[in-house]
Order: sequence, then C-alpha cells, then structure tokens
Amino acid sequence: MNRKSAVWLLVPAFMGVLVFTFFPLIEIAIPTFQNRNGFFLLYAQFLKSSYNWQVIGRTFLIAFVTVMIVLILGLPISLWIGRQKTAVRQVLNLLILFPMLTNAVVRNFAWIIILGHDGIINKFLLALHLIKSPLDILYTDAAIIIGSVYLFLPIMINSLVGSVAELNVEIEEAAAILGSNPWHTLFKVVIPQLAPGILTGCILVFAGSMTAYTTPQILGGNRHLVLSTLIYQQAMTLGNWKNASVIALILIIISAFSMWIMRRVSHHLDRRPSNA
Amino acid sequence: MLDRRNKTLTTISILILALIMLPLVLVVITSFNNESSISLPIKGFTFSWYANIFQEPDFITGFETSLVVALIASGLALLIGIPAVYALTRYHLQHASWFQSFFLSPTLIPEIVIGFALYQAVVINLRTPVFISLIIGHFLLCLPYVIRLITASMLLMDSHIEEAGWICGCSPQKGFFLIVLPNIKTSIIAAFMMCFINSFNNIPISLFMNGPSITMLPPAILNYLQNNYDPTVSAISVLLMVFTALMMFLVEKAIGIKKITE
Amino acid sequence: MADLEVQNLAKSYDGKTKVLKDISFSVKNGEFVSILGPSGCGKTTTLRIIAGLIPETSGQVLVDNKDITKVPVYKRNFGMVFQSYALFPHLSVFENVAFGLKTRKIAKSEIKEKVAAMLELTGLSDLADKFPAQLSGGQQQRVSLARALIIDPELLLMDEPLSNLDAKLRLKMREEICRLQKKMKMTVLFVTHDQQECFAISDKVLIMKQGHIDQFDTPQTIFHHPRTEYVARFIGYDNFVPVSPNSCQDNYHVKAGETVLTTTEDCLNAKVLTIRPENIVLDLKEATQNTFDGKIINREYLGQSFKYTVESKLGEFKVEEARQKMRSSGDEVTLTLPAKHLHPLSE
Repeated sequence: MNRKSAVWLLVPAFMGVLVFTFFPLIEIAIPTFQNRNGFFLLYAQFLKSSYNWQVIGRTFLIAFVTVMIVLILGLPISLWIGRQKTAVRQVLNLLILFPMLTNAVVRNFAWIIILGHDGIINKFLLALHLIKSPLDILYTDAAIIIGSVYLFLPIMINSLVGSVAELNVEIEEAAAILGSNPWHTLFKVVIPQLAPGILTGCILVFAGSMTAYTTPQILGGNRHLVLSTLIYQQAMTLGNWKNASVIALILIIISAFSMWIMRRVSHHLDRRPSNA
Repeated sequence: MLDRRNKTLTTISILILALIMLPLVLVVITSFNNESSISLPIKGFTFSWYANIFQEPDFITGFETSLVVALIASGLALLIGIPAVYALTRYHLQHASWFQSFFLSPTLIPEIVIGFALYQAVVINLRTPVFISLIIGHFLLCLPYVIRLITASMLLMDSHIEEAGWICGCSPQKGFFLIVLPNIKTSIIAAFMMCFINSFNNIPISLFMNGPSITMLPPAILNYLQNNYDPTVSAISVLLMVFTALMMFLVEKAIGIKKITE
Repeated sequence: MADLEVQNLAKSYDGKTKVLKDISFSVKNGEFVSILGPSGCGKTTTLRIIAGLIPETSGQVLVDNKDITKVPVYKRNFGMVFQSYALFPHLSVFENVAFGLKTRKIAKSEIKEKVAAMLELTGLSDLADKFPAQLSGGQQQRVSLARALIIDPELLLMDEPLSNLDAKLRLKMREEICRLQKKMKMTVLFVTHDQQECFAISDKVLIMKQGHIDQFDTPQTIFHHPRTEYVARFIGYDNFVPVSPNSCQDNYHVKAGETVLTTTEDCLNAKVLTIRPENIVLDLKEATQNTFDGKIINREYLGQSFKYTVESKLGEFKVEEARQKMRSSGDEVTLTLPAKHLHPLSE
C-alpha cells in the first residue's frame, strides 16, 4: 500500500468528526447570528442579564474551587499510593478506578443521601443538638462542588500516581542530605517535579467540572444553574433553541479559552527543555 | 521521608480513601431499607427494591438500549479508528499530527453541547432516526479513546516485524491482519472497554435524544430520581456498581486493568 | 572535614536476617576510604546509614567523637554523590549547586559568589544556566559533585558515582575526584564494586562480605597480604591450592595432597595457599622447591602477555607469562610457585 491509498484510511474518521461534530456546531451557530438588528444581538442580550453573569460566575467558581480541592486531596494520596509496593499499589489503583468507572448518577446520588435534609450530616448534627433544624446543604453551590470533587478526584489521583511512581527517590535523598527537611523537600523538590502531571490533571478537572451536566443537575437543583444545565433548561424546558445555542457557543468559547490559558501557564511554568 | 512509612501521609491518605469509598457503601446499605425513604440508619432489611427495578419498564428497556448503543458505538469507533491510526503511524503522512488532533477534537467540545448540536442538526433538521443519532453521538464519544490508546501501542510496536512479515511473503493487507492486529490486541480490548464503559455511563449526549421513543438507562435513572425518592434508585445503583465491578474483573482477566488507564 | 567513627553497626530489615553484622571502622580527617564488595554485601546500606537515609538497628555513628546516630539526615552536614546523580531535574545547574546553601538560609549575594567559585573549580561555569537533561553523563557527575562539595561537608559520601560512565570518562573523573580530594583535604567514603578503581584512588580499602568486614587495610597491604580467600579472589588471585592445616611439623611447610609446599609466611593453620597468575614461573631451571609438572590446556592473548591454563596434579593453574615466545596447548611445562609469593590463608 502506498501513501496515497493510505490517506483513504483516514477518510471515514475524518468525515465522521467533520460531519457530526463540526457541521452541527456550525448549524446551531448560524441562526444565532441571523438578526435584523445586529450580528451579535443575541449574545449582547445574553450578556446584558445579571442573572446570566451569575450563572457564568458560578460555573467558573465551581470549576475553580473543585480543582483546588481535588488537588489538595489528590496530591497526598497519590504520593502515598505511588510509593506502595507494586502489589499494594495495584489493589489501591483498583479502589480508585472503581468509582471512576461507576456511573456519575450513582456517584452523585450517594451525596443526596449524605447532604439531604434527611441526610446523614443533618441527622448527625441534630442528634448532637448542634443545630435545631436541618441545614440546607443539598441544592447549593457547595453541594455541586462536593459532588464535582467526588467525581473528579479519582481522575486526578489516577493521573498523578503514575508520575509519582516514576520519581527517582534518590533526588529527595539528595535534597535531605543538602539540609532540606521533609516539608521543604515536598514543596521545593517533589511538587516541582510533579508539576507537569499536576497541571495536566488540573486542566482535565477544570474543563470537566466546568462542562459537567449530571452533577449540577442532581445536586444543584433548579435554582443553582450552571451553563450546561442552563442550556438544557433553555432548550428542553423553555423551548428557546436559539438561546440554548448562544449559551452552547459561549460555553465552548469559555472552556476552550480557559484550557488555552492553563496550557500557556503550564508551558510557562515548566522550565525544563522539552527536547533535550 | 515522604514514603509509604510516613505516618502523617498514611493517615491522610486512608481518610481520603475512606471518603472515596464510603458514599458508595452508603448507597449499598440504603438499598436494603424496608422503609420507602432513602435514609440511614436503615430500620429493617428487604430485597423488595431490587424487585421493584423490574417493575419499571424504563429501566429494563433503558438497560437494553444503553447496552446496544454502547456495543455498536464502540465497535464502530474501533472499525473506523484503527485504520486511521494505522495510516497515521505507519505512512508518514503530511499533517499527521494535525489529523491526530482533529480526531481528538470531540473531547474539546462539552458533551452537553455535542448532544444538543446533534439533536438539532441531525434529529430535527435531517430527520435522522433518534437511534442512529444516538449511535453517532456515542461514536464521537468513543473515537478519541480508540485514537489515543491504539496510537500509543502502534508507536510501541516495532515496525520491523511488519516488514519481516512482508519479506516472508505476506501481502500488506494480510500482514495487517496477521501481524499488526495480533500485536495491538490488548490495546484494542482496552479501547473497547473504555469506549463501552464510557458510552454506557454517558448522560449529556443521550439526554436530548432521550424521549418517548427511546430510553437510555442513565437518563432514565436521573428521571426517576427527580420524580420519586425511594430506595429503588439505591437498588439500581448497586446493580450498576456490580456491573462496573464485573467489567473491571473482565478487563483484569483479559489484559490487566492497568492497560486501560495508561 | 572531620573524623568518622562507626561502632558496632548492625542492620536488619525484617528483624531476622541481618544485612549488616557488627560493622566497626574509623576514617581519619582527610582520608579517602573505599568500601569494596559485590552487590548485596551491605556496602550501600552502610553508606546510607552513615548518611542518615535509613535508620540503623543498633550501633553508633560518630563524627569528631560526637554521636550523630539520631540526628536526622537533613541536619547532618554531609555531602553525597549518588549513582544516578539525583540532580533536581526542575532546577538549572546553578540552582542545583545552590540548593544546599539555600536550605542553610545563606545570603543571596554570598550564594552567588560561592556557586560561581565552585562552578569554576569543577569546570562548569559555561553550563550554569543549563538543565540536567541537557548535560552529558560526565557533566551531570560534575554538577553532582559540585552540589555535594559546596556546603563544605564534614564527610563526602559517594555511592558508585562512576558506574554510569563509559570506561574512558570513568578514568578521567577518577583523576578529577582525586585531585579535588587532595586539594580540599576531604574525608571521603567511596562505595564501589570495581577493585581497580578503588585501589587506584583510596588511602584505605574496606572489603565487605555478606554484611561484615573481611579486611580493612591500605591497598598495598591488601594486594600483597589478602587476609581471606574471599578477598584474594576479589583482587585477582586466581590460583587456590587447598592444603591440610598442621600437616607438617614446622610453620613454613604444608602438605597439598602428597606434595610439600614451602612458604615464607606462617602457614601452620592455612587451609588454602594462593598465588597470582603473574607470579608463577614456567620451566625455571634452577628450581629446588614448590615445583611440579603440568600441561597447557588453554591460551589467551592479553596484549602484554599470555595467560595459560595449566593442568597439574595440584589442579588447574592460571599462569600469566610476559614473554614473546608463545606456548601452545598440549605443551609439557614445569610450574614453580615462588615461596615469597605463595600466601597462606586460614579462612
């Protein structure tokens, strides 16, 4: 087979992605610009509403806080798992992988049991007489953040454990001999070496939690919308298809832009020459 | 040192691990509650919520549809993805890395947007049957997994063994089936499993096309959860966990679970 | 730099098998001491306990007569060069070398000065802004050395530092380490499995076997008077003749089978006699003692000499002969083992 005929092998995949990813996007994009009163009218209208800004802000806030918590929780356990003996590590990897492969509805539903009015936390606090009436934890931004952390923590751990296992322990020993205490070694030697993995994980989690639908739908309720649940509400509940398209495009732009920024930042932070 | 003997690190890690496992354990416990509310601690023990699952036609047909869609979409992604990867990794094509990124680009579009756009463009405008549209949507979800996993193993494979096959008298077509495919077998299985699991679990893409004509399981559970609040959800959640565990067991037996996370 | 003393050091990982058994030795200020042994003999464990990287099971480590056994690694003032160099991949050469000064909270201007001087000394000035991944093996080795030396360590520990370099570079780095050691009057503890390397650079050599010390002496003493068969084998004594202890009345004769062999050292309790291949003489006419017949069964060409394998009634001997006339397999020869080169070993 020569190179010319090899190109034909690309055609089905190429057409599949082009016809079913990009054409539909163009198709929903076109009507949003067809207005008598201006090209960007619908977008301007959308961005005029303070409610919509609230939704955008919430989307960002949830993604940002989720990344931070996932990182803080994910780093120590990844260090720990990555340094176990192989047999133990394999078992722990299975324990991390199991929630990762379990349906998101199931994982979010578990938190209804914990956070709800009748949930464990409220029952516990009531029993201790710390509160008089159940707290509203479910259907808040906090609930969405907790659910997102739970959803994305295994992904972060999974992507970090590999990099941890590859670390050369002698490098930390060298730091210790040069007078660096364990805390100093963690921040000046271990984390900088893990930086590329950490940043990749952060980008994954940020983009994922920013565009997730299931978690805000189950744990956020109707009054705590993010962009993805707003798209569904506009389209299916209110039947406002053009508006849903506008939000869809805004979501694409925002998430692509955030990922681009994070990539730039990570590229900037990773000072090591890439092809040495 | 920060090794597995570090007590602080061990304590923190075990707490986090508990945090990861505990919610799922709670779901299992609530599924046996003999009250009609999902609460803890449970008052008594019953299997009736498991029986109740089979009273819900949406769950049964949803499971069937989800299974069929996941199987077809995964198979399709392999069928279309493997030749593309083969061409990209073996024939030094121009713009190979551009094509690679292009095939991975569906991951950059939020799934909810893919679902929404497909619904509008394919179901409404082109009047394509919903089932076909579902397959297309899930195919787009699966393709990047195939591209990524198969590319990795094609690059690891020594290209000389294929040339050795040609010298031994294999035609390139025959060589592909007799030499290339057997050597990337594990990553094909890994890719299939990843595709299948992710397609089966997917909600955002199925969401818009889920309707009176076709029900998928995850959206059906989501629907049920929004209208009822009884341990049936716990019960079906447990079944889904068992399903996940079963899949993991199969992967572990076939190729070793590590392969699918690389 | 300082004196080091190790007392009764023992180590067991599982509480049962001891990887180190009662290790005691001392290193004087400015001495270069090597620990030599095959992998698994406990030499790296010893070094890592002294460094403070792993805890001992029992015993003490003293520096200038102060017990530092319980001092954590990061509070000991040692330098160490690792086999993998263990350079910080995320830091430049300059930052790598400066690391130990930064942890000691030294003023920036002083750090700059000291690092610049150290880079100059180790010939790294041009590479200050490079990253470890951009350096060759030899350059990484130098950075590793510079990083260890800059904190003015009381003791420099080296764990097989040359084993990742190719043969030519290894010789060059060996000389350089020697030069720096002399110049800075460093106390060095050097772990290696390469006999030649360690004899070339050490003031004293400590030979370890299965967790204990077999011999601790100057290279010359070890070379000429190995204490045990194990040490002898390690340093190139290829020929071992088993003998019966106390088989003769006086202290300078011993029986190997029916043959009486003469030595110049006390061989009353000897179990084995050993001799280096280059010390055996073939076809010596005026031989009166320790002489017997043999037959050549193999020949190797070594450049400067030939190495023959000779079969005899006392077993096979390796003989190195530095002469141009080539012998052939099957040639009949007489072997002579000069008494002054024949060393009795009791273990």
